[in-house]
Amino acid sequence: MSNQSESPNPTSSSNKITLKTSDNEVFEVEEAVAMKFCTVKQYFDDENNNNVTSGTSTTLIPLPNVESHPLAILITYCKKHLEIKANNADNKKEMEIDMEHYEREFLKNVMPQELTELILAANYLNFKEALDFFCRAVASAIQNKSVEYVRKFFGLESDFKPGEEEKLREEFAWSFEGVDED
Amino acid sequence: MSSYLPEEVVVNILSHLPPKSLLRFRCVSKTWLALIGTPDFVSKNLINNSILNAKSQHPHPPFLLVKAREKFNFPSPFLGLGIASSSNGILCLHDHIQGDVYLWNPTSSLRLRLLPRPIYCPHTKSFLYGAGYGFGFDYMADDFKVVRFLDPLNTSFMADTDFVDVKLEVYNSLGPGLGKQLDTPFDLNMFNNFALYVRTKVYDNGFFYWWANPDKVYDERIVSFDCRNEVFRMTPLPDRSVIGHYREVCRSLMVLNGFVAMSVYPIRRKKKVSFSIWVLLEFGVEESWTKLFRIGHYFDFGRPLCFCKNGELFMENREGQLVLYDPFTQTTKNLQLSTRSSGVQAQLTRILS
Repeated sequence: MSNQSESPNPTSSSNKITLKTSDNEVFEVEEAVAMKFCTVKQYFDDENNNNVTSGTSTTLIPLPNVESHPLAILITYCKKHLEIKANNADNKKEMEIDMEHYEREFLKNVMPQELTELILAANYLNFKEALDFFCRAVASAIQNKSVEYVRKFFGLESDFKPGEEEKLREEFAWSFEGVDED
Repeated sequence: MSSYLPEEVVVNILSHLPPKSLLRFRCVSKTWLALIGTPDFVSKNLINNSILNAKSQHPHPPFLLVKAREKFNFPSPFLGLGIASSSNGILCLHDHIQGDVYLWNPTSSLRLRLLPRPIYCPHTKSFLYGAGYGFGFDYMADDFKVVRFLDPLNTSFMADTDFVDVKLEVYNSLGPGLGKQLDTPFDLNMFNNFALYVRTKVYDNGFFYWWANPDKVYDERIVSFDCRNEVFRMTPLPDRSVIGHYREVCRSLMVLNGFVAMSVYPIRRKKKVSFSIWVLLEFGVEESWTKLFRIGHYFDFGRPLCFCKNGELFMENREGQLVLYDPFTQTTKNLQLSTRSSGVQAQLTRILS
């Protein structure tokens, strides 16, 4: 399943870390992958400091705020991210092109509604690259949408007094032209 | 399906949106309205950030100040060499007496290409001369493009002539020497009398922009040319009642983070001059002209040149020195560089990173 043959430091990536989600699924991931999740890294470092004696092998880290569905997607994304980085270690531009290509393909299999779930997971895990990517994806998904669509998407309700919203709409009326159908 | 997203995540999402979407989403809720704010340039809010912050890979490439002097690194004779335009550190030079066009890399002294001289037009029995140039980079073709407006010799100086033979050509710097003539959706004669304005054309990120003069159909407007797709579009200026008549105010065309912008200031100079900066948030939509800020009574002001980064503005002071103005702190920094040389316009150009 994992493809670590092209990892930059194959020696350090042999360790596995076990993550346990809120719905009690257990994921065994390469250390290099888990270390991209800053929350996990923090936990892992703290654990290591606390018991220096235990060498390596399995550490179980509970993730009470993350469900298995988004975590599985994040792990796949993270692996690919590391792989692309390793394959283009000396060519930043190539790396960006590969990453862009992967991200485009990735989004084809993700519903816009799934993105909020992924964002919450990435935010909790403090996985910055993924968080930024999903935020960009949401931005491009809502860019041409109506105010009503966006409210529904974010679960928000208008809290303006009657007349206030109309006034705001009039102020920049041109920005309401050419909006996609919901 | 909706889960509550923390505010910093919402801000992250909104920070990737263009001004048009942000202005619309001010209506989502009071919280969003407060986050997005108003386009006033001085507040640290999302809309101003969206207008000011560069999104490109190399947001702040260095600038190059090129001054035309007697001693160019060219074989002579060059009779009337001027800088037509610049893009990615390459200058497009135009000899307005001989009609030749050069692409020149000032850092390597390498002359890249020479366009054909004016063409004889048998139909009107006259030579067609370049009356206006656009020069830019087509990222898809990985090549520079030159756009040339051809005009029968001298007619641009004769006010009563109907210019029926104005043509427009596009050249690729690497392609064959023959230009491709383009059909345009409007009368090219409106590009005549460029001199009415201080800065009349600008290139940015694959687009040329020109001022166009009023004609029978249209009032003043800005014309854009998409360098890759070779498509023209245009946008009228804000109403004269708002920005002033062109006989009373100077306008200078600029680009701010991919948006067309202009500075407006009175022609008649008093001791202290104030000027305002306008930005066009959506090309093609006249209503999207937004007045961003006004620089009040700057005593040493000569003329604005171009935006540097994040709204900082290169200006020329009355002594012809390059000055960097920061609209947030309203401070200026004299860069101790003279922009004047032999009365020929100097050009600031971004170097390709």
